[in-house]
Amino acid sequence: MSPARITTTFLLAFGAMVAGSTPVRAEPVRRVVVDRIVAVVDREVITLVELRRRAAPLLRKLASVDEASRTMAETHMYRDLVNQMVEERLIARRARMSSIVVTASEIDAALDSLAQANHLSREALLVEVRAAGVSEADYRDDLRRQLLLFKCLRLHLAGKKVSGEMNDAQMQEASRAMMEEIKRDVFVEVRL
Amino acid sequence: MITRAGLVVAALVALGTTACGGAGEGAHTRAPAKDASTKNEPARAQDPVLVCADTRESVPADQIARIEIQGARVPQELCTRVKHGIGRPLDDQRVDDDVRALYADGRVEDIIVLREEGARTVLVYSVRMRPPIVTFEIQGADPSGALPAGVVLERPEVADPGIVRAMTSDATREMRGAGYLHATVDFEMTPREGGVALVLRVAPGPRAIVRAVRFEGPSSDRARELSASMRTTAGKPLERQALERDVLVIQADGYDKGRLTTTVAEPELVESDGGAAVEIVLRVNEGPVFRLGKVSFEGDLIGPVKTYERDFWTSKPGAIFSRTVVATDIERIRAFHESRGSIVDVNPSVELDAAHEKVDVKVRIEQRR
Repeated sequence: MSPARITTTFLLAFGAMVAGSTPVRAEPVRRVVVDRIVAVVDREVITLVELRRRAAPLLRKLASVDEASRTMAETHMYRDLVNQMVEERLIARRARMSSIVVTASEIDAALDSLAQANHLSREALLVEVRAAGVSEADYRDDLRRQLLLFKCLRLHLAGKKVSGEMNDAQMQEASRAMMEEIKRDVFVEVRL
Repeated sequence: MITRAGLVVAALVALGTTACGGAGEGAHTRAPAKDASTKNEPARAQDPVLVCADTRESVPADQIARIEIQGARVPQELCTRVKHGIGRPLDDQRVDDDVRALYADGRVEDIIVLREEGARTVLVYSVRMRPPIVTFEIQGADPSGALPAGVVLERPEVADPGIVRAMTSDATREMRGAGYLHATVDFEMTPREGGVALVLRVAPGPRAIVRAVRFEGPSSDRARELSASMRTTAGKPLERQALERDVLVIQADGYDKGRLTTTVAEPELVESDGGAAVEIVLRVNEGPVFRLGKVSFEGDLIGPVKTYERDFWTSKPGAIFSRTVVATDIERIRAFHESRGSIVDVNPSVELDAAHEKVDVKVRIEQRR
């Protein structure tokens, strides 16, 4: 997808952001949005450049969708992605406050565990990942975020009455409750 | 508890559906509390333009010829935060760094970066500055202006709901930690001539006095012994920090008496008198008393194992395990190595034999590289 196409999508999705800001100049000019703040979490910003970077593999997937539905799908995708990035920032903030870190060896172990669960070698799993349009670095980043969430969740549940192992639905509910608790004290604003 | 399988499922979902899959319902963001500013409104056409850099000559269209910051009340020094150069092509990453640097100034509320393509290519940082706080009022403080628990609320320079929320959240947490269990600090920003009026509303509520500390689990003698080591006592105001320290002390006391499976649940606070009194329930499960089983030494030893056993390891097999004694023994080993010019890490690992109520200790000595 060309940068021009992305720009068009954003202008459609976010409204005419630059309307009314045409400068008083003698010669006609074209103004193209290069970057902007799309969300604020506490004192940190999430930017359009960052959002576009994260959206790139998703946009590749949407390339096969017909033109009419693609714009709508992209709008939803950007909105969901911003919300996801906001949650990641909140988790990262909580992790910093609790001195929680994820090491490279923990990411390696998670990769091996995933490969094993899919009856693949680590190398074969990474080939599959790349074939899906995701770079190894991005995939490792994704795993790091998940591990961070997992560790924060474990800390959140420590001291709470949890009987036995949690199933996926209970984990999702616990994760939702933790996010609600984290958001309570943090300023969050999405500017889409 | 959470299983690795859960993680695997989550990761597979992410693999299959890429980034959006793991997000679930996504964040539900709330509107800023009574924020006076207008969102998503870039600088207006008539807003002044601050020129940060200009080549003053013709450059190819794919290169930035001029950099501007446009917006009302933009201070000159903001240009120093823009690091994108002129006479070079647009660098998205550099622009992104600039956006973060401008926002980090604290006075900038919103930024849109535009590339103007005309006879010359101009990079415009269109900013909206935060309005200044023109009036500041704290409601709910005592007549002297002091707030409970020594909380201080300072007047911010500009209307930044992020900073004000952080300030009010911290104040609320401090007051609740000091026993004001229902304390709230809220804020309201209202547009005024030349800026924004900020009102902070403090409602501390009553301060909880500890009515009683009740143990569930230990015998009454043991409960008395544990109570004696606590800073939280009946008749005094509740202090969260002291209570957290007490929980750690109870846990540590168990470890020193061989009760290695001691667990202390999060204290339950039973309120009465509308939050003015509180009973603390401490559920302690101490488990059996473990005695020391086998002790082994491995790694970078600088003498026979017998020397370590005889001269440094005072806890003998059959004795009740004590974490403090083990820690002292470990320190002795480290000092011995240091006296011989060898800096080591001494890491003990324990293996519990619940059936025989024994604990084996493996001491690994590693030379620091």
